[in-house]
Amino acid sequence: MSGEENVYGRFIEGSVERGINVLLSDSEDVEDYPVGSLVKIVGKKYEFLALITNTRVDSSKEGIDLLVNTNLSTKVKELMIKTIPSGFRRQILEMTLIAKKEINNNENIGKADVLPSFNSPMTLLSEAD
Amino acid sequence: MNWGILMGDKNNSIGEVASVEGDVIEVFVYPEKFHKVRVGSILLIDSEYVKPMGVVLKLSHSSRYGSFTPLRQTRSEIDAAYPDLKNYHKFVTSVAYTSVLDDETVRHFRKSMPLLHDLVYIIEDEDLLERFMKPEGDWDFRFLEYFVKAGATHVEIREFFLNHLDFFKKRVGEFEDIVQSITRYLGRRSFDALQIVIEEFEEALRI
Repeated sequence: MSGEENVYGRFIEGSVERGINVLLSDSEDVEDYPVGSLVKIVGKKYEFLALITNTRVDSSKEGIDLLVNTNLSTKVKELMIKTIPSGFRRQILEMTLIAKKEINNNENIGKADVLPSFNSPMTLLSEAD
Repeated sequence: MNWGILMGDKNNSIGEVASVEGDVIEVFVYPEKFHKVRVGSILLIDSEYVKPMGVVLKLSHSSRYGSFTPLRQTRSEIDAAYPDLKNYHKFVTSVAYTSVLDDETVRHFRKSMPLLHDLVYIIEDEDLLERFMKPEGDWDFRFLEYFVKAGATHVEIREFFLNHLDFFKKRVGEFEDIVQSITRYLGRRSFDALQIVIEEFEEALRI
């Protein structure tokens, strides 16, 4: 796994059976992640192939309060959201784990029967993948 | 103006440290300087081993001996009849300890505490105010986190902005950077009144 610049989100919760949720990084836009896309989750022992099954945005109380606040200009609201996006909303990708393979071992590919570790990074698939 | 010039003359001091407890330093303000100190004023303490800085949270004025007798006179009549009356009064300000002056650079974290009777100076000079709010060249409102922790609400923060309004009005071109810094440091700790603070700051600049 190369540097943090290739990390687009982090695994935060879920289960093998019901699927997992990935919190998108603040710099990412949920509009760039269509349902049906394949991504990679890099765990400690395994890399996982995952399919995006749903995406959603969860607003915090502060986010809703900000949007209905008529005393602040649109420009200021946008500035505040840009400064601390996660203070106002969270972008979640829901996924199903499809397969896993041992890191640095392309021979041992199998069904995803374990979860990635908490906070495992999500990255995009490369041609080699 | 630089920090050395300000602290180089003890006649510039506005008071001295009267007590220290937790996040708050109580300063005994000299009666003739009391009018200069406002909620939101930035103070610097010249202590031997540390130069604490902070933002005024509260002001109080009471009889030093605990009793009060109505005089039924105007202020000028009182001053004429009892010229030394102020010596029997107590002028105190509570300061939220937010920062230190470290090798001529302001840093928004705290070190050790000052000692009783250390002299206290008020920061009114624009260059020094800028060095407090932009210690590394960029706006840094991290000190507001300590101000809030010590008990400041959006009301005291509004007074901080209003009492430095001339300073901020001259920097209205940096409005976006200021809003972003306030949001970054108050939003990070889910300060309930963040939006009110930004609203009031935006409104104050239009006054």
